[in-house]
Amino acid sequence: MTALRLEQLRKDFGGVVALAGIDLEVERGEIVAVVGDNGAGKSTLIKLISGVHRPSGGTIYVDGEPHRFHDPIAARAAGVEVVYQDLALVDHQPVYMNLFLGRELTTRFGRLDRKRMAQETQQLVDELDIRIPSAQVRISALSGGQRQGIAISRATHWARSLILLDEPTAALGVAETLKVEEMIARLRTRGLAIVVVSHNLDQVFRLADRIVVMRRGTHVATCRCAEVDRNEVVAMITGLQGRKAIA
Amino acid sequence: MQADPSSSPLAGRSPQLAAGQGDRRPSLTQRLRAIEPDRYAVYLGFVAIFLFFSITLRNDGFTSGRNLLNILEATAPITVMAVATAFVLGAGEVDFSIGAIVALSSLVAALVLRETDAAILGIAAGLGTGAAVGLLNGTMVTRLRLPSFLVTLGTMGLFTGLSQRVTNLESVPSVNETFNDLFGSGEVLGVSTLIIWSLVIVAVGHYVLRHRRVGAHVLASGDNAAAAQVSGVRVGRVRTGVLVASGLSASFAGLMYTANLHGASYSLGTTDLLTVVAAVVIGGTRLLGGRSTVVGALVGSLILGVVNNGLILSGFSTSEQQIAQGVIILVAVALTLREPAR
Amino acid sequence: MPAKRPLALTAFLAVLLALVLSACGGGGSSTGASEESPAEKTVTKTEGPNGEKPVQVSSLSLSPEEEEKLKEGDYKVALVWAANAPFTEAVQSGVEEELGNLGVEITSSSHAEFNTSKEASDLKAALAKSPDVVISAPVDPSTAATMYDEVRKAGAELVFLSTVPEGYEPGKQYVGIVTDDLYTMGAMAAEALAESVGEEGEIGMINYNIPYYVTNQRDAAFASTIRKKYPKMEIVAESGFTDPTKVQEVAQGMIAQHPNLAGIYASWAEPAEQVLAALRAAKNSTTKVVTLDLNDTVVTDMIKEGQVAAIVVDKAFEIGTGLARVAAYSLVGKTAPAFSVVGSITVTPENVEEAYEESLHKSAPSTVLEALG
Repeated sequence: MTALRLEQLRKDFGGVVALAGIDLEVERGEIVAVVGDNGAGKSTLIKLISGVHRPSGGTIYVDGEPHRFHDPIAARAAGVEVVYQDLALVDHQPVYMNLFLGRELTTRFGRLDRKRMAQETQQLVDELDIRIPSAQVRISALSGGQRQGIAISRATHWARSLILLDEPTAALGVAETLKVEEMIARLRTRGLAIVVVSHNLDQVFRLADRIVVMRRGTHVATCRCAEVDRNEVVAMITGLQGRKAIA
Repeated sequence: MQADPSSSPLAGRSPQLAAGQGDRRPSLTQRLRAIEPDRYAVYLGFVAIFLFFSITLRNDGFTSGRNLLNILEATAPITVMAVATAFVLGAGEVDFSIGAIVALSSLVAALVLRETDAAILGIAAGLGTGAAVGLLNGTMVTRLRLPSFLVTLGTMGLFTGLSQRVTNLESVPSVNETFNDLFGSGEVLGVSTLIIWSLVIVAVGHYVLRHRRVGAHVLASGDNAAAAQVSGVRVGRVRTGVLVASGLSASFAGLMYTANLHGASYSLGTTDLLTVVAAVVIGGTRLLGGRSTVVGALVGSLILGVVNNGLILSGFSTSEQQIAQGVIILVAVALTLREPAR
Repeated sequence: MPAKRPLALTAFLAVLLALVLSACGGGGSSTGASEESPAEKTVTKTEGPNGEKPVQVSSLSLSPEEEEKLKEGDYKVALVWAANAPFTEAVQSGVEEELGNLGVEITSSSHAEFNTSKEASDLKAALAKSPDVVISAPVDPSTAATMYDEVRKAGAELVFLSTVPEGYEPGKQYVGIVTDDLYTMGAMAAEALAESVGEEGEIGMINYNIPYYVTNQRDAAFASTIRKKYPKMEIVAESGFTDPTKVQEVAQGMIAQHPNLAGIYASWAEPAEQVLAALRAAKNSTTKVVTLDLNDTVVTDMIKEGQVAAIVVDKAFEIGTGLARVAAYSLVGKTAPAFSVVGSITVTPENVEEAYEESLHKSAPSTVLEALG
């Protein structure tokens, strides 16, 4: 069963077509990158899958079930987790409270179970090999790469089907970018489908199994990374070449 | 769960995996630094000010039991409002209308007491007024999407005016003994009910802020509302909730004032807004949201009370008192308002 | 280093604080202000803001010819008050009755709710009906001259309740003032307190610390009377306040430092409420309190607990009568006294009901009646 299937998914805003009908399937354990220039419709696509926008047409299937997400919470409930570009982390709270933000664990009497949350967080962080001083430190004490790691850990902890990452390394330096990429690569083994939006083609070729190319709201092509080279992808993004075979 | 080394070109451990980083339990120095000693400046400050007055005013009655109780009784209504204000600021909001709510609630309570002579009805009416104004504030903030400082400035004016009209500036006596004893003049084991109420409310407020989900949601909403929203926190409900709590606390303070003075008046609470905010901020709560401390609010309130009391006992004229108070507040705020470096 | 800065800063500011406090040179047992306090002045009589001698309202009268002239004259008067309060209501009732008897029409009345700009627009609205006289109480005397000049330009005469715009002189910009007899009120308070403490003992005063001639005079009158008439009584403590809602702590300080006070004087009833609360907190039921101006809470306490020796109140209704008569004088071209005063009543549990009648021409409120039993 495919983790994610999009069937003719489209979105209009008034008279403007932000996303023309797109078909896509993503399997568990594979990484699909979404590329395209500004205005290509990448973020609209992410927002539709994550429940921020409602589709104007088409269907989203998660694990075979059709869905019409009316808000991000509904998408979460279906097993979809998102790592937003601004990370959606709360600075003054410790790492473990961020991990459980909105889903805090409580004891029998409704009291926050900080101990258990901290333990589970520490475990997860160790598993994913994220280097932070402890699960108790505040987010504000972490570097950009560490924060990115926490945001990804959070999504990993809760996701049952799919993780969406929106420009995960856009604000990071070279060394941190590589570390985060390592982390994303390891997510495959957890049996989740992974969709990454990126404008960094080198990264895409390092990380992804397949590439979805968008241009001006249209789905141009989907290719296997192994079967296509950089220049072809650039050409598709900029529109200097017509459609290629969908893989 | 080891990653398959052949699947990623980045396989291989990064050089950071040295012995120190692999040790997961944080070291003592790390934990000490995490406590952020800056935040405890307010407690030190309180001890320092208290000692200062204890020594300089040792022959003027500062340290007498009666005087210390006076300080606790005088600061009680402010403390009650400061607890709620810690939540309000924590959620990234502000409530300018608390002074007006004190006045209006006290009059409503006293009028109901006068008509029915039933303490329970007077209490319900007073608290109900505070909750209703809080709900009005909250609804305008969440439904009309107006910033709380605008909304509460408006309601402050509205309800200040209403308080003046309700009884045409007449004060309303409060003669119901049950009510007066319960909220002000009574004692339990020699301790005024004012003090007991304030400590109970501090305890409850601290517990909720620190140990309940709703407390975590309040702070998340004030820190990064967008992050909280997408994580499932109902930010709108949080905002309304803290404003209702603020209204309730102000009406509670109104009941305390009324029971203590045996009468309600339109002028009660008019100067309290600044005192409450100063107490909360001195106590370490962040003005912009995301970090609050109820215990800090209590200590801030006590600092202000001790300073006020000490200056009165020192024999300064009112203008000298005001100058000194201003200086002390500036000092205290400067010390505690600094964000911990990093 | 983040940890070191707050320490250095604290030390510096603590030193600064200590310097400020010692420079203020306070301390010791004197709780007085450094300026001459109202209690230290000696007054012997009521005086107008410019030193005018007071005239009793009861001595104002009109001859039958003057009354005829008024009835035929179709004159108009506007009332512009500073705020709506039981006191103002009583004054207005007095004005209405007197002008009604004289056949003068009241064209409008308004309350400025302590708001200067509202008062300015109220005055303009009043002028629209072309009144011959405007009877008014300025919200803020120090800035009021400009807006009242407008009234004079429109040709109306001015009669004032209690306070007058700064710079105004009687006979020039306004006809006259009517107010309570300030000296007498303070003196009556002293007499009432003296009687209740057996004319001996230590006295404390809690005064309004802002230059406002009404309270200043009454406070000074109280102090002067104690000093002159009661040699066995002594004012040992005097504290000032500027916020009438924050008096309890001031009172507590005084009580703590002078536990044997026979009596305490409070500038008016609102801070007196706080003094009573302070006495309750200190479990002191012996010190007597005396104050001025009718206030239901203090009256109720006086009846029920007996700790208030007396409350001295002015005859508000009669002030209204006086304002109307001064206005009438100016309408018939008679020279009015610059400064007129009314009598006062010492209210004790025995005469509460009559006091409400005489002062406000109203019956006492239900809580007071219930307390009387």
